[in-house]
Amino acid sequence: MNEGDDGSSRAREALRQQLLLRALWPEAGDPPALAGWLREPDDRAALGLAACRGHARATARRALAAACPTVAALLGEADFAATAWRLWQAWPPGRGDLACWGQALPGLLAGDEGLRDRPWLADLARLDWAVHVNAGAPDSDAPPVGLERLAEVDPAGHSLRLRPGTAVLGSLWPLATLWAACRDAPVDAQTLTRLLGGPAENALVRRSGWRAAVSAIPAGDAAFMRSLLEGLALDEALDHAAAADADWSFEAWLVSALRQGWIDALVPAAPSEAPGAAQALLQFSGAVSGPHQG
Amino acid sequence: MSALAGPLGRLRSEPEVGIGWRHAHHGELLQRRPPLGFVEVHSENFFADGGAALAVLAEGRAIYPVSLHGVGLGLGSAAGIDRWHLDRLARLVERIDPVRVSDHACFARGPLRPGGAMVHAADLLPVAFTEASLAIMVDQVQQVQDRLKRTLLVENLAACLRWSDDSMTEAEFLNALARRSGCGLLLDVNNLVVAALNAAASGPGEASPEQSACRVIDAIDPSLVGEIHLAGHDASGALVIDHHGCRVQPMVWRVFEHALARLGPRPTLVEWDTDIPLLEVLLDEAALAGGAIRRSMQAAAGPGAVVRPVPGPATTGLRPAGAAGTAA
Repeated sequence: MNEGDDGSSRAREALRQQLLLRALWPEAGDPPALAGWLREPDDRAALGLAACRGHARATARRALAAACPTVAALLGEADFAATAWRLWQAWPPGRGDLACWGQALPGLLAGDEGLRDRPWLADLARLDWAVHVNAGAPDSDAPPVGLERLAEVDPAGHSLRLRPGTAVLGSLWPLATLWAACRDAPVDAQTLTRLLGGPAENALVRRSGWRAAVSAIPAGDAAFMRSLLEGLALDEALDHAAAADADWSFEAWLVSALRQGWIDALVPAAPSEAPGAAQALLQFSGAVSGPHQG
Repeated sequence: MSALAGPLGRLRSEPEVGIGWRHAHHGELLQRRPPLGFVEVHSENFFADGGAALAVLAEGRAIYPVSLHGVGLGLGSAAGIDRWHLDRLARLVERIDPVRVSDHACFARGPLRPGGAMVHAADLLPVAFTEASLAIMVDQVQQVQDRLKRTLLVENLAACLRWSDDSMTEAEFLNALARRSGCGLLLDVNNLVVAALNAAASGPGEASPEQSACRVIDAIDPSLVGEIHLAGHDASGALVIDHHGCRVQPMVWRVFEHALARLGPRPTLVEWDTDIPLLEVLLDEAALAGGAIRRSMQAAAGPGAVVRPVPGPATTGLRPAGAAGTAA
């Protein structure tokens, strides 16, 4: 086989693979899938393609339920399976590690006309995803690095790096309370209504041992930690915390942070640098409940 | 019997029997520690940077050899393999030091239209058995082996779709892949049976499905096979599906015994991925596999020879009707 033959043969392999992938993600107006390419008679080929689609449906439901179990429990089996399939069709996986797939779920839910009566579902999906990411974040239980110099350093030139996988999510709903109530057991409509009547919450996602933990935190803490996650210097983070809550206390926050192991290190502030990839995935600016632009 | 020569340097004369170690049995296996030759996990489930799953795997690795079985490399993808995926696999291999690393002779990723974003089907999609397809897979298997600094085992599919312009048989393709790339083969006996059953339903051939599966084994170079997989399939519908959700069927046991007679003993895995049963049931399937291997070793050694026990679980007395009933 010469070089030209090799190139055209490879292009033919690429084309056949594209046609099979296209048969699994069909669009309106596509010609009949794979006509003439398969050895199977048409009826058997149709069965084979249906089996591939059935496998994809089951995979989508299973993968998304692993990442977003609270949303799965609240939607119920049939609605969740349909939602997972819609997500699979609209936002196909890009990687062979399906733990990476599902980040677009909050946007899908927020834009779903049929879920207008449950606007808090998108925020719960966001929180589920943050917990999912945190659960696979690097393990780190060493004492915070450099913290003994905290009192000496210039707050305009330094920042605190939080543990990997830490996320702060704002919501117009009692997000952390709702998540905790719905995660492990089904809730009835009456309980759900009562829970939704609670005040808006900021949810902190952090690692506790091998597991992710979720708790509600005050507005000042949320503003401060969100600033740290964005890589802002301590002085700016302190300003944001004070703007969110005039009575906010850095000392009280530090006690909680040390007790619960939130801090990874005291680091030079580098506002021009992009924050770490895992944290960048988890930054949610402001108290929003609209679609997450993933 | 001496260790086999060829690319499978870690293959031993005493084959092991292992089970797929899934989430439902993580705690129980660590607690009970039944005798097993190895445990197998899906590599992609341990790609995270940290967390509980990796900690459990490390604990299991301290007790058992671990076989890392991938489902996502898409070794035959004309669009190439995902460097991120390969990097994660390499990191896991370094962490776990597995006894074997494997993936499938399939494609999985590509764009939906020219120049479009890459999608991953999360499925084992069939490659054509052509020279061009072979060249793609040889190149990419070599990339993986160069990165991992290990021999990769590549598994045959239970494909329910076949390409009309195949220019070689599956066995010819797999033999050539292994010889050109230096990889080994992972022979999934259940996949052979499922593919043969589906091919027979598409148009009757000269041989029965069981004979067809055995003929594929006969055509594969025995020195290339580094591991065997057994699993259950669902034959209740018009299409037979390798769902890995039930006991190994009688035909698969018979083809397995044929494989043992032809290839000699090989590390053998019992896979069970859906409707996961009690650990006891899985261990019993492994004991059946061990019995079959022991009998094949006895037959090869001749009457009166003493065959050392196969590392694996003892039989438990649980038996489904018709499943390898002659196992010791």
